[in-house]
Amino acid sequence: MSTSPRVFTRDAVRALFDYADSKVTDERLSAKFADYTPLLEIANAEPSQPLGETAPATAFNAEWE
Amino acid sequence: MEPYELSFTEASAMIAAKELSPVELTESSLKRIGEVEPDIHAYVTMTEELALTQARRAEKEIAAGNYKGPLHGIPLGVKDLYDTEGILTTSSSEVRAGYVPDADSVSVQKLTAAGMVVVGKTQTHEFAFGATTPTTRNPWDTSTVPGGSSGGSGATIASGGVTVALGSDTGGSIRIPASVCGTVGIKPTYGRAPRVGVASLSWSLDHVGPLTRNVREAALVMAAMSGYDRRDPASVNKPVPDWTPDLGGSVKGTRIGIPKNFYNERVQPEMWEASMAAANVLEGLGAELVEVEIPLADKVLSTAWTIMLAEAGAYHQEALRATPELFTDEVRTLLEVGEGVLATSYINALRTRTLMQQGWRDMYADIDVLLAPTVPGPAASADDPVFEWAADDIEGATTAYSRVCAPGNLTGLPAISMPVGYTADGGLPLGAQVIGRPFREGDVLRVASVYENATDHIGTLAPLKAAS
Repeated sequence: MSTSPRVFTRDAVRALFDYADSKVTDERLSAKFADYTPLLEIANAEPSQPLGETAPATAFNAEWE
Repeated sequence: MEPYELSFTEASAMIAAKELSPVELTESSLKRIGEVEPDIHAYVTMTEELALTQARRAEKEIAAGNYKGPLHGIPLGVKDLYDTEGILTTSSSEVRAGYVPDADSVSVQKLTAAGMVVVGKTQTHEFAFGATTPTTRNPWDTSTVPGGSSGGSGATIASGGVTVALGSDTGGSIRIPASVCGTVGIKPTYGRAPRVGVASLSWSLDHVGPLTRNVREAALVMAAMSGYDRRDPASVNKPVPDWTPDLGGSVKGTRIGIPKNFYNERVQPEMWEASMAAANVLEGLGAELVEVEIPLADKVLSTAWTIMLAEAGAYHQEALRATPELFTDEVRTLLEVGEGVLATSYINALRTRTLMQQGWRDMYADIDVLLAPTVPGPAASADDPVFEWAADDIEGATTAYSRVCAPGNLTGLPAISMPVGYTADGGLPLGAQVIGRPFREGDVLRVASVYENATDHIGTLAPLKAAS
């Protein structure tokens, strides 16, 4: 498992937005690049530990029983 | 004393005894809102005509012997995220500038059925995606933010406009404004209260609940908003207890967890000390303080933001593509990032959340509730809403505020924020949160009410004069 944070280059962000069919223009990407990258890095960070067989908390239920 | 200055309990008792008319109380509430609104801008829309119609109806019902209970005739502020029939519901966004719902949200339905009187729609950070509510100012110091996203609700309670206003909490949006505006705010267990008719920020983190001046009305309103509703997929079919009999009870033997990590990191010393002073008050009344370690603390921020960005990105995708220019630049940027969250990243955040929930469950083996600062500091400057931890470590207020609240949303546990002191410089409110086991809202309400009775921190209005 990687421990180094993912780094998003301008080309990588452009490719990501294009793949998502986002409407972010080149001009806007240039203007907001410094705002996008820290959030993209946080949101796409590698897990800090192996998750093994852990299932996602989909249909999240706070009940403990 | 003007009627708006009465506590909820006093006003409610006087209405029940027919010593105070709901019309009189509503008129006083509307007058007070009008006096301070030029300085704080807590409301998107006022509903004077509706409020007076509802108040007159309540007056007639009570006069005819049809008293519905302690909420009957009490003014209510409704966060503009909640649908209200025939009333503009903008979510404080140009995207929904003309949206007039044809039905009330379930919460509003339930509360008006209990006799509450809707005085207006309160400001939110746009679509609840932020914790500063830039449209609005804090009544304790109008150069500061009211917190958010339910900033209008916090501001109107702190300035005496109402004793109850609705909020929603995805990363602290009830507890944050409660803390920085010096009010009470409760977020129930995830699934306890249905979110039908409330604009979503992040489905798996969203909770609805009230901000209030005191603890008693928090218990009453939270119960009235709760109950199973199949239209909300998260809704849990459990009986809703009456939490009021335990209010003002005892904390003798209650095990209160005191965090050794996370909640004391990147938190202003004054904030931490005020929370620990509250813990000491409770210990003096018989509670047992138990040091605990918060599990997976280093993953809280990334897990919460990953889930929130992805879910908000999906919720707003159509509007973002059709009319991106109608969003504020701040929220538009967040939603654009949301489209760039990888599916595997989102799923891994949900898996980390599973581990977090298991870790918190283990931690609660030794405690009944956890007590911690609600946020890292008091109200931030409205002009420059940041916290400066070091010359090269400046954190935006939204990130800072939600960082400390996010575990309550990730775990879905019930949490109440209560005022526990003031800053030495400026007298700004400081709040602490009490977080309980799932579906044990009664525990957090009881602890808060015991603290309320033992101190004079809860129920104080901001010293805000009418605008000139």
